[in-house]
Amino acid sequence: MNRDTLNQLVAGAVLAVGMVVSGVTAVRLSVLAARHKLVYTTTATEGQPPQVALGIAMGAFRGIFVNLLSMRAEEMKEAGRYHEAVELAKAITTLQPRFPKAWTFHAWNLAYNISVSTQTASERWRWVNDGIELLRDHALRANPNDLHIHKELAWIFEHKVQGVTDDSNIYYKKMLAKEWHTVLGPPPQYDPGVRDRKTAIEKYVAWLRPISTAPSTLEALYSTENGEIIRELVAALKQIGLPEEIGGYEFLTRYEKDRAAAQSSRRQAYESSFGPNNKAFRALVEDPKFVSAWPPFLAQCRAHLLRDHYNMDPAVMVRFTQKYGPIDWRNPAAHGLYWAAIGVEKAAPRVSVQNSTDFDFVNTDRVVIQCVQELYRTGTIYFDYLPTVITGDGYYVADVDPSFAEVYGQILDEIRTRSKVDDLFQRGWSFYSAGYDNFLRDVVRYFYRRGDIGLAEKYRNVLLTYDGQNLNDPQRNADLARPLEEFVQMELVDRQSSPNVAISEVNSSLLGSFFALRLGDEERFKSQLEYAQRFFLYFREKQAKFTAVNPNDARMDVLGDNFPDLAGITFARQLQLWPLDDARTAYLGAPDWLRQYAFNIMKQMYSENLAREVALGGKKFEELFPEPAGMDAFLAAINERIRIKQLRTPKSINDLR
Amino acid sequence: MWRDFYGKLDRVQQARGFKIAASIAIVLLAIGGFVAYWLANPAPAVDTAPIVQPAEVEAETPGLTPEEKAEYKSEVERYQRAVAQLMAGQTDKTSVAVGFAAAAGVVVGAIWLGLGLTLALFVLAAAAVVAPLAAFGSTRDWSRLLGGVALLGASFTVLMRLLSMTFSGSHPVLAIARNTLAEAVRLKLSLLFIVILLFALASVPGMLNAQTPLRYRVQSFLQYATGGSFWFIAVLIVLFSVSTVATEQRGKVIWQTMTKPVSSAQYILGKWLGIAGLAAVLLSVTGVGVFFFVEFLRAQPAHGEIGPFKTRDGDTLSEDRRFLETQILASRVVVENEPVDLATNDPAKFREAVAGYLKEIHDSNAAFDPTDPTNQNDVAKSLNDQLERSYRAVEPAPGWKTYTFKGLADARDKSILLTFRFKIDAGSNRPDVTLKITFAFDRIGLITWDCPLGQYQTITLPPNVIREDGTLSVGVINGAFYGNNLRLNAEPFSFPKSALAVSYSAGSYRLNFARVVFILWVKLAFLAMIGVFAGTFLSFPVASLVAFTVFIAAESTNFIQKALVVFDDMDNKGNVVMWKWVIVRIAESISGIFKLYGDLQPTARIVDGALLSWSQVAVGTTVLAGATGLIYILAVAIFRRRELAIYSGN
Repeated sequence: MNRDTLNQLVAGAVLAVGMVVSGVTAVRLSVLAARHKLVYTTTATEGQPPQVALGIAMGAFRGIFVNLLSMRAEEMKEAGRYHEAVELAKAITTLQPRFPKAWTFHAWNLAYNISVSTQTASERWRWVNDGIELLRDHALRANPNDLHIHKELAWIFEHKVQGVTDDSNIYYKKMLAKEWHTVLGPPPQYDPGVRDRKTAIEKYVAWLRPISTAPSTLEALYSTENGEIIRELVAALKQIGLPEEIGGYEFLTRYEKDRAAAQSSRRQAYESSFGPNNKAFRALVEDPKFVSAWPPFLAQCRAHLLRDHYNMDPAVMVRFTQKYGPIDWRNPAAHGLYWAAIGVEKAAPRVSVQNSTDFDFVNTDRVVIQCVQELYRTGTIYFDYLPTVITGDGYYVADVDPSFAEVYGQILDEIRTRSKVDDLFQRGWSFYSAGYDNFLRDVVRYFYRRGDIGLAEKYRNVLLTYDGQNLNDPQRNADLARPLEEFVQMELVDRQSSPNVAISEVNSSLLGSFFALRLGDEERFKSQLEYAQRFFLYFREKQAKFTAVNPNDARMDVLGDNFPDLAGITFARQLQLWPLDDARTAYLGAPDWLRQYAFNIMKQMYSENLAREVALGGKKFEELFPEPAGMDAFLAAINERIRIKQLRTPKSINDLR
Repeated sequence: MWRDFYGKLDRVQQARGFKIAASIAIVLLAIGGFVAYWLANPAPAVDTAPIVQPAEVEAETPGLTPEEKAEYKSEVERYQRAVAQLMAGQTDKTSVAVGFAAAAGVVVGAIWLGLGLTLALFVLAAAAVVAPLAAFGSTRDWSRLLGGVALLGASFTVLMRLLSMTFSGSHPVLAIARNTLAEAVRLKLSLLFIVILLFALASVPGMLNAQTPLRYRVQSFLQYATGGSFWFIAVLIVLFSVSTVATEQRGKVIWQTMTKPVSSAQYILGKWLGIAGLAAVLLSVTGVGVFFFVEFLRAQPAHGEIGPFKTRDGDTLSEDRRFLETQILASRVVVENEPVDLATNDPAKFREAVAGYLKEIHDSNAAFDPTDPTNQNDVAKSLNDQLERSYRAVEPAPGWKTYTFKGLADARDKSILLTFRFKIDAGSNRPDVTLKITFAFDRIGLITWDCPLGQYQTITLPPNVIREDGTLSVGVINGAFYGNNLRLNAEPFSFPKSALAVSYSAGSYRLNFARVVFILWVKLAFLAMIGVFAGTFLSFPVASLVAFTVFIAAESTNFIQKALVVFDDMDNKGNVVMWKWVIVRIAESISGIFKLYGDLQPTARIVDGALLSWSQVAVGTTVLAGATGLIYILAVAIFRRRELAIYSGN
């Protein structure tokens, strides 16, 4: 063997060993990096727009160029030329998609700066929604584990949309409710016996489960049990020649519109306006052949939309429902909660001693807590979908959801352990405890006003006994020990104009009055109803302000603009929750103006079943629930109000003269 | 056969008879086309009814005297006239007339260059490519791009030939200019730039998002098309001007010129004239392209409209349209509020305040000399600044703070809508906070505004808020009225300097655009002379570096001046840091030299709809022409001393 051959053999051996070692370690390194979320995505090119190639091609000049663009973007922002700032930020995020601050700068400009520089609610919503979409649909795809982007996205939902600081906030809420009613369908309705948190959660999980378990593609769906009939349904839908993409958002809007029209008391009026597409679509919806095909098909469409368009995981939505409560995804706080909580979950494994200051868990967790609190305060939504889709405006009222009363306390410990600044047991005081204290006081007041004295007492006990109470107020326990009524009165001092207090006070006293009606206590019914009305009017006078931006909805219009509407809808909803006999007792005891709101709903709910029981000696619906006087005039008045509201159009500042 | 055919065609297009006949035909076609357009788009019938009906006046003004009613009617009519003026934009056919005239001009120019039939064949060939592409959705964007490039390319070619014809005299300066123009299209470097420029300009419209509000589309297009074209042409001009002089010397091509009876002054002037001509042609092509595309955009439906100038709800103006017509496609004069300026307005009171202030400082610090004029000036300046700041601050207290704007008589007389623009600062300008503030204007009463902090806001005002003497007063209160109750905010706010202004469109946007393009050309001509100057005595790379440094320094003047406000040459103990001191002095000198160049800001003005007045154009042109002349003299002086034919030994 000559020297050259020996060299070649040695080199070959070194090469082989190197390749083996490289192969083993590279795989192991990749696994470790992915496990500890040290990579942006598990696939190198995922979420990377093709224009990134341009940035790479610029080499070292990319940084300089991005600096120049950033300086100009800031300059344009200061000069009030937000749109150009946005264009520049777009260029920056294209060149450096892994730079989270550029994304959030861009989104903030859209949602906060540009939106308020426009003077109509619809245009404002467009910009706010653009900010949301930018972070959710683009920034998070390029930076799926970044905590900062998650927090900013959650904040826009929680503060800009759910909060009341923007004149157009009610419009935003309606648009978000419309969007998520379309995406997920109507949330489950309460029925008698489903009052406790656990059962409510189970119902909501059951509602989301088909979506979370739906196959990711239509092809996969075709290979399931009902696959063939679903394939036929899709073929039939294609044959109609609908202008929208089958299974997309517009398609789901058509479906939900059709469903809402079919269930509406004005069904005939809606159906008379149907064109050939809608008629053909309705025929497919009602075709008995496809009864089993629609639910899995719709679930797959919704799952696809969630994953591909909204960048959300339905399985996580189910998990959060189990953890936090029966989340109504039409509520902006639900999305704030989702993005803040998922951000924390994704960032937590990446933290080490060296990089802990890079992660702002404290503020992100605060968003989680604030969203939970908002879901308690406004988690039950009454929303009129059909008029909103057709005219851009509809009824929207958010009410307290007591199911979220418990969860605040349950997550507090978990959040406290992540916080470095909330050192309660060293200082004897913490922000988290102060927040929890205020929250519990509201809960006590709500249950007391609703007439649920037992629950009010239960939460007062929690206030008195929970671990981690603040020690700065020596008067605290003495105040808490007062008689419940006195304690509640004291809590209300100076807080009547707060929207959250107004929601809980008005709604809880309304519920209290209907409970009194059920028990036949007319005096308490009247006094509670009068209290609700007084509070409503007081709050309206104090806070309801119409603005040039959104003349249809007052800025703090969290309770709607008409007390009879609020009371009537709450009454109708409450009757649905009670067993038939209790509902009937309350109905018969109610004045005609309240019955008018409930009559058609009760009829829809009971008339068919009762008609079947007539043969068995049962009574007809009309005998159990007599039609209130003036029903026709009432319906005519409602229709007229809807018509007038549709005529009211946004006015510009020109009209302020 | 084809050669014969082309030969025949060429003979035809060169014939005087053909030129006359074709020119007449083109002019008639243009006139006919415009008349046809006019007839197809008639102006809406004039409403002869009074703008405000007497019954409306009665309903709106119960209890007023007849004189007051007459005044009310007149004010309402003034407002409605202002809106009508904006609406007139939909029937304005000026741009169409200019379009027909420009197109006819280019074609007639081509005909007299003897290129009439060549141009016709080129148009047919372009149409043969573009039309099929336009027929399919997937290739429609390409058809627009190629169509745009063909149009711009044809216009460029014709204008270059026309310019060459203009320079066709036998004078050495013209001959050198003509050769320089020929070199520009022959040289790969400049040709590449020109082709890229034409493609880039044609592709900008395709980058606009149709979903974006119209005002932003127009603004973006103006910014990128005008600003981008200028930068692109400027880079080309700098490189070409250096190259044409420096490489001629390096390659000894200059011997052929300088061995003829051509003086150094003529050589430099000829080179500059050719380059400035090239800049004029490029700027004309891009300027006309930008102008017509903006007019096209203007005729598109704005956000909230179902057709151009037509809103769904019957309102006369959508918000998007109102912003576009009053703030962007305008030439706005900006009037800031009158400063408190106590030193001028009440000198006695001011002197008294300064004396009191000096005494106060002296009482607390015996070393302070109150008679020292420097100290007195410092105190007077500081006091004036403090008064101004205090005047701009609005406390949360009952009572109106009033600000006055003067010189608005023109807007009142011509019934022009006003734009009231302001920004407020409060505390640390929390981005999630808004303050409700109330403005009171004459005749329109109170406007309550939900105001975010640190962000510009605009309110459109009718012209009747201006008093007869041309002043406008606005009262401001830091709070809002609810019924008769005033609810004050919790914290004071202030209007930062230059953040409280009223503006109105004082003239035509189109004329403003023409002035902007002219000023851009003046800047390019200045840069051309810088390049020629550097090329006379430096090698190509070094001369390019020098010319680019001057260009970047001139364009960055505003940025440097802003940066100097925060860049201190002292450390935090008040000691001067030498290297920082050097930087500050250099930066100050550079920004001082180019201050006027930087202040012109033609692109920013057209994007913001701000007026570039004739006087600004005159001053800018004079100063830049003076600087160009000075550099020309320097270049000639240096060039004369150059030994262009030294024997190097090789």
